[in-house]
Amino acid sequence: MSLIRFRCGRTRWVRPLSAVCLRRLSSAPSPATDPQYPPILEQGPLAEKLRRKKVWHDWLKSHETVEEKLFELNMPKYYGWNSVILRDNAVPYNFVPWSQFATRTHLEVGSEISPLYSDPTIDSTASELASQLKSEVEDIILFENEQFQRIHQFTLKNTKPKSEEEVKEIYTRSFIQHLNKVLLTTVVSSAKHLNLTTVVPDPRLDAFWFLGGINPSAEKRKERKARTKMTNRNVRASFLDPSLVDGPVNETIQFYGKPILQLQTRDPLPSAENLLENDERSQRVPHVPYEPHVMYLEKEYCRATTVPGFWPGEPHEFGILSIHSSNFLDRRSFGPEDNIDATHSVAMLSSFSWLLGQACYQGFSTFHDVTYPLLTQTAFSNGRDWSFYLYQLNTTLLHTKNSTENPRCNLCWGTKPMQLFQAIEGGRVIGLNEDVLKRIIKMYLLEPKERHGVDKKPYLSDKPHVADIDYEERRVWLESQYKFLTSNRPRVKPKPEVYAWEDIYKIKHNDMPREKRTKWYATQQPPPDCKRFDDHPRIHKPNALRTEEDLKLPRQVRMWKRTFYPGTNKDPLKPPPGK
Amino acid sequence: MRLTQVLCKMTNYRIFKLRWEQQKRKRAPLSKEYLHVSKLGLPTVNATEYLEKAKEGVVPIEFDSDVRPAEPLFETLKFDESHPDYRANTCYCLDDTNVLLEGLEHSKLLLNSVQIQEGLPKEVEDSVGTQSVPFQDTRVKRLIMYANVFDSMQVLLPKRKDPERPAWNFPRDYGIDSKRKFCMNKNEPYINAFSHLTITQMLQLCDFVDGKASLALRSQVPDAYCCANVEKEGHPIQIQNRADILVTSKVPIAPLTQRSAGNSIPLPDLHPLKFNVSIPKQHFYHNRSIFPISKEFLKSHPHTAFFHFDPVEVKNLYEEPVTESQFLSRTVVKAFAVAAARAQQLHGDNVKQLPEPITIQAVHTDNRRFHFAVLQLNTLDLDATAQEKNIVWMLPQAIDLFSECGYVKGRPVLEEYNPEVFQRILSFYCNGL
Repeated sequence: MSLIRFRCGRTRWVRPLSAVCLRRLSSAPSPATDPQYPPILEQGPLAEKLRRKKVWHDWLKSHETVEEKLFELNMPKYYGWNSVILRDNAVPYNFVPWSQFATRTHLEVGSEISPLYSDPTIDSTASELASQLKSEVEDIILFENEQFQRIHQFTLKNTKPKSEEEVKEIYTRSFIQHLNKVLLTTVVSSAKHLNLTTVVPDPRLDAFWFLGGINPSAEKRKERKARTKMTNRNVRASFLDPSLVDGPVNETIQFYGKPILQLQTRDPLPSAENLLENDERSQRVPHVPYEPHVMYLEKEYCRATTVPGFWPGEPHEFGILSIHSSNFLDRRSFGPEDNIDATHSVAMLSSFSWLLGQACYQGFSTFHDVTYPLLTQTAFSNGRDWSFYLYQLNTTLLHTKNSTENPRCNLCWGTKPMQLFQAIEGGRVIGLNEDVLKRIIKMYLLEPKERHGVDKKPYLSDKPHVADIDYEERRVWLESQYKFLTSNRPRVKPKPEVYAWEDIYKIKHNDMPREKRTKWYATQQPPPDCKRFDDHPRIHKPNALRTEEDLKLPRQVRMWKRTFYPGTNKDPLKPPPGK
Repeated sequence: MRLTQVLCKMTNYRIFKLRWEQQKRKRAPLSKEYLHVSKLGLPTVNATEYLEKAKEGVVPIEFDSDVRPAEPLFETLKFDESHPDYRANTCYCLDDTNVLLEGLEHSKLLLNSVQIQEGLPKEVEDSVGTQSVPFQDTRVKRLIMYANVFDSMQVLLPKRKDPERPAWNFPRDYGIDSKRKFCMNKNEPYINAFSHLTITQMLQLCDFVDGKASLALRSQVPDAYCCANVEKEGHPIQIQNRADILVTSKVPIAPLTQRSAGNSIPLPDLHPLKFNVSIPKQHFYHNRSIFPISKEFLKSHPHTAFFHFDPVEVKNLYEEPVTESQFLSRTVVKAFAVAAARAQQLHGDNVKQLPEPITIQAVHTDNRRFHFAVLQLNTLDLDATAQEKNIVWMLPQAIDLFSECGYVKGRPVLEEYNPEVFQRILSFYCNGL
């Protein structure tokens, strides 16, 4: 962790006070006959390394608001994490095992996806509604495909011609939103909970998590080997231990998705299975330890953003259903079998990402596991072919050893693609499949229920959002900084780049000894990757912005803007006594 | 010794010479493959010589004459004479980005329309507030908050400018786009009108009033592109117009008054300006009128049109900001375009006197201000000598849905919510249900 190695900024990282220790020492003094010893800590380089990480995880857990917790994930990196970028419209070949590993998911593919749907009342209502809506759905299909001229079809208004995929995407999105509108209007009479849903077209879906158990790259191994030879006396001995060289690494994963629509409600869906602490299915989740580029995945520097489509504070914070486009499959050339696999893998990744976002808004994180399961329904469609998934999130822990040894696992039930209709010929829809329509309706009928006797937000305070903070300056600062962070806006000064010629002639071989030493590697500076988020000079506060209260403060305090990084500076400054 | 410029150059020269001496003795080592092969005792041949020989044996491939280099995948259309919509004769074209110079009076003169009374017709005005959704205000407030505050879209917003300090550069804002355009991945830009959150969610609420009736009688169409070709005093005029959301119905709205109700009211006089001022002449236009919904669709009658006003998109011809009167006139022009396009679809492009008047309701909004109007299209004969006139009812001013909605000092705020707006939208939507 760069956290400990280079702490060179002015805003110091504050070690949290151990709450356990405080309580034991202050209240209820223990009798002398029952001495309390400190816990016996495991020794060894790896254990020490994990303990260093745990300090940070506990610090993250101690934050009171959702935004601060998500902010804290960005604190170690000024220029963002070098993360593996996943998108919901680009899937490499044979991706199911890796996506199972990356989300720790047990996947079941069959025709009946879950006992949740086999409830006889839901079944009968759905078949009744399906037969009732059949002609209406046929009308929609005809309208969207034949009876409506879109703006992009006119050359006068369409200055940039669209590719076939873009046109198809426009049709798919329009059809599904139209279908959703009709279904919602009809189904609401038999499912009252739809009155309390928010339908969000084209939401933003970002998720970020740590994935452990991956083989170190050649560079990483080299860097670790070089570290074992460090002669600096200030470096701890455990840093220099050669046993850590070949150990697995954590990769940061950033997912960007673009669903067609989401339905959000106040309460989560009922769980399909109880949360098992020791699930034997977790041992069957494949372990793919290869580096990401082996799977044709690319890395980029980006901020850790976890956004399930809305900002914290929105009352409808659980999802019941999301529909995604599967048009990207046409671009792939690996055959129909692999296209089915690709749909499974994107379904797992996007469902996990959405649920992870919802869990993060409840105060859980990639380091702190959920205490109750969360569910979502996902459908993939290009208008004609539909595949359905139900996903239950049992765990969010995937970092370090958890990726292989976590006893819990997430569950995903899915179907193969089915056709809603066969074709459109001569102004008529041929072969509308009522069974598929019934499945779509069933997704709307599944009712979310309040979880009784469950503390929904165990790791958050009574004021779980930044908007609830009373100290105005801190609230405004945190809100604007959090939005700046999630916008992924580039820094004014970009990350210093090391060009190939510099690497060869200046770093590997000292072939330009007389060159002026200005770059970070030629001077005694830490590498830019180790720069922390708060590692910047203080910002001056002009006289015009200083308030009356500020003027009572000492000069060296009042002339700088105050920063409020997560967990710091929670109270307003008080003037020194006597002023 | 002091490191002077001369000394530095000398040292550099010496280092260069030293390097040269070192490097010139360097020899390329024998390759591992060569060593391996020679160890096995196999004969070796110089690669360049071998390839020289091999070249002689190569037979050049003959390409078929019908294979041509591939055409570029996307060729952007050039706006010149090769464009399919280029016409030699010019036409006055009024599109979404332009407004009429003189505002409301101008639009009345151009479209041969008159206002027979202030405000909306009595039937419409009476039905405001008669229908409601359970917990209406709470739900409308929630959807406004969602669309303006809690939606997590962050795109680059247009530049902020302060007219008092035009040289000042504000930091660029990221947030929810006014039309919520989607350009997250730059490779796949597309616009989705359904992502216009406030109106779609409000219409969804309207549907909940009577689900079965609205399902049978109403339909919503996003981004309906309507284009009307009309003629006024010998000049052809084309109105190219996008209805951001067009609500269509199974049964057309009945005429609200007699066709001759506005005959006696004179049209406004803009002298010395002519009716075609600020409408540019173009060579590129459609040669026919366009109504995007085919007649075979059961619910093809335009009922209510929702128009979006984007201050970045809509400007005067000389880039002055749009005035209040121009905002109101835009409602009328756009509603006219939809109604006229429908009339021309039903009765042919050259129709003048409509056999049946076409009535359409229009809502024009920039997400905060809402303007409501009703238009009864009696005739497409726009000349000053025309007997009949089209009739417009409209609210004298736009109504504010709220005074402020957004993050204020770090807290989500909705101030001065006005319930009247949704009541009016609901009464418009339920007109005829």
